[in-house]
Amino acid sequence: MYPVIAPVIKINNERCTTPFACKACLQICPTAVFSVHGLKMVRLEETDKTEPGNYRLRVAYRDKCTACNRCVDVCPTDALTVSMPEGETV
Amino acid sequence: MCRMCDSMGGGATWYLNPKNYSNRMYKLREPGKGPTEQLGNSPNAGSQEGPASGGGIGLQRAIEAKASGDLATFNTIITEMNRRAVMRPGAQAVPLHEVFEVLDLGMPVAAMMCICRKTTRACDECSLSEYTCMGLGTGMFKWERWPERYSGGVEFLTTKQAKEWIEYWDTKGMMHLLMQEGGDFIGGLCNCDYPDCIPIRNRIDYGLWAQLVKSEYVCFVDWEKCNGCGDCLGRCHFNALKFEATMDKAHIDQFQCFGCGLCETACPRDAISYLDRKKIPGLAKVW
Repeated sequence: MYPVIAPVIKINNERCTTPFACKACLQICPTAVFSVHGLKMVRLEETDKTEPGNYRLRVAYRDKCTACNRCVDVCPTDALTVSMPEGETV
Repeated sequence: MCRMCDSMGGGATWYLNPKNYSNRMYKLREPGKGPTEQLGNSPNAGSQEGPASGGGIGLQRAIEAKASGDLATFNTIITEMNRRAVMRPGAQAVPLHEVFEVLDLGMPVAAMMCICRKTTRACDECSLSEYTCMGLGTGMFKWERWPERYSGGVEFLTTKQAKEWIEYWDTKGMMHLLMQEGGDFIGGLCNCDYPDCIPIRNRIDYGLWAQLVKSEYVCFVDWEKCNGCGDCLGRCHFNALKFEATMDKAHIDQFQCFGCGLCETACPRDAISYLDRKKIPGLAKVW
């Protein structure tokens, strides 16, 4: 294994409010970089997947990102940006 | 696995000991010992990361270090996580024929949605034809307490139904993991694949070996019987199975092999067999 600088993925959580209901980026990512987590937990009640803010999208495996930009293209709310860190040239 | 078999096997493979499926397992805790120590918890309060997500904040820090090119920090964190997890295996691969034995032993059996696939691919599995995870043991009687975890519902199966259901997923190319979730108990039997399954991913991508331990077996190709048809190819999740073009036969790298048996169940000629890992000196300690 040699050091590889991975792309930086930024998620705008104000735009991406219902990632579980949308799941576009989660299912299109070839290396399965994203994960989705529930933020709201009410005892004995299932969290509503369509209510904004109940789930949050997270970049779980950033080292696997190839910056193919498929997630950026598919995002219906333009909440994602993928770029190489500053100073890194392709 | 050695330690588990020594302490819980009663002279045999630990998960084939009927005692380990009793209610006792849920109450077993050494006197004075608290819940198992974790290397950090999820940063999101109230997040639904269960034991399935494994690493918690430690792994997140390691991945962040690796992504910024800092391999030294990555290795330090992974080594430390492995050191702490030595005595706490997360899951073990089990071949199909032993899954059937486990199903004969354990009750009740309940099919449910996979929490890993829910997290990584936002899959909403909500009927038996979609469920890929299985809860095993008396803990399942209380499933309604955690509607978040079991959001797709739970379907209790008879032993026969469960075997058919597991066989269906085996045909589709999913391997089977016996989930221990860090404790000396049997929590479930999952049908897993890469990259959806978090234990598989943590093991082969990040080297967290305790989260997924190899099975008691190693697969072996008998070249007298193998005719190079290639039916087994593409079923291995661990890069162990290749096609040796010059010999026109399938080839298994026994150090890569997890002994999950997916290649064995696909072979129409019974050319692949299981060898007992513990009886092969060079592999006996390769878990």
